[in-house]
Amino acid sequence: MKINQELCVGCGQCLPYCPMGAIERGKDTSRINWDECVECGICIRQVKCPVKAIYEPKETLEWPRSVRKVFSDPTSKHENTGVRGRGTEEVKTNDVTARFKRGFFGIALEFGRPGVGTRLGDVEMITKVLAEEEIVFESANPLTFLMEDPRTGIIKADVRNEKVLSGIVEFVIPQENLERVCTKIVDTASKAKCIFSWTIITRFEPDGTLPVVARLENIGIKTSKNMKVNVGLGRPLRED
Amino acid sequence: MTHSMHRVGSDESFQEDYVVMSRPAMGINHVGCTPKIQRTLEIIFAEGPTNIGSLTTQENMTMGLDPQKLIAKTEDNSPVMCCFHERSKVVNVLKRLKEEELGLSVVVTGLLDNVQSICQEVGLTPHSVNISLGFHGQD
Ligand code: SF4
Ligand code: SF4
Repeated sequence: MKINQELCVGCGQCLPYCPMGAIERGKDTSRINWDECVECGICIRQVKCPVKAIYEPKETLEWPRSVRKVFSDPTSKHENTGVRGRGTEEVKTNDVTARFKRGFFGIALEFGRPGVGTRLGDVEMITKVLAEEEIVFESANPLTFLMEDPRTGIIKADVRNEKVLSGIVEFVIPQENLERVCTKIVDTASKAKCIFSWTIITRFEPDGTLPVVARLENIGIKTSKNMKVNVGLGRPLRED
Repeated sequence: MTHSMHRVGSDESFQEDYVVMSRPAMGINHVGCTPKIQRTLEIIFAEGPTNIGSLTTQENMTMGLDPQKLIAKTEDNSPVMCCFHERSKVVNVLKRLKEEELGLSVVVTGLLDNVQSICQEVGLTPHSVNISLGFHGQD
């Protein structure tokens, strides 16, 4: 995003809207820090700029800058990148897609958050380690699409420095690998000091229980009781 | 980040706190599903949600979102996202969705025990779940 320096009157109204603090106030005008801006679009959509000085330049939609908007702006349409949204429909439609089957767990790690963001190259700290575990990254996930080779977890050189609000890494593991993979993630995170939130997706057992909760607790990982439950209303229903 | 299951708070604070989302599965049952999404929104509005947000109109109820306008602007890929603070309203919404066999997927975020008891009352078998494992790292 950019601010037209000819038009801007430096009122500063737009500053508090930016989740990245990327709008900087100069002597007479405000400017957007081009390197820090994640192209989330909040300023252009929400700020009532008195002189309509905020605009989206054509570079925003040019590769590799275009990936910023894809990962940061939930309203963006992604024709130019071939990437659809930040992540998949995860558990939301699992009753119809059966992406996560009995005997397997889905794991999603979300890097960055508003105010901090992430450089796409930074997710490699984890993706490279996961690749060593022979994890298969979700092919419909846009971050997988940005890997040079999903078998190595290495992010393409031309997008490594692109800053985004957040990026999600998604994969499925056979249930017997749960302890090994989760321990590895926790160990790497503590060494690498990278910021991420993470979740696990699982089917309910036929009796309605969730054995994964106790297994995670055994290796020191606490689960939240506030859970996102797919209630099984989707049709056609796919059990597995 | 914005995910409903990452919200933190005491069990007490989640007692009467439900996020309800509905959407079709792209590429499987999304073609021509606009009327189903519209009907879902009607059922939700009839029950009176605490709030509802829309990516299409870029509004929520505190910003003065107009239900009719939102329903009119619905497309085959419009997700439904709202929240309720009364268990009974969630029960009523799910009952209607089940009776009318709309067939869109629905997720409810809340304390597991509460969501399971709602499902039992409505006659639903919970299919799968997304569980927060918290956060790692530092700024
Ligand atoms: S709101 Fe408009 S005029 Fe005011 S500082 Fe921002 S860009 Fe400049
Ligand atoms: S697009 Fe987003 S990150 Fe960039 S300046 Fe505007 S609000 Fe800030």
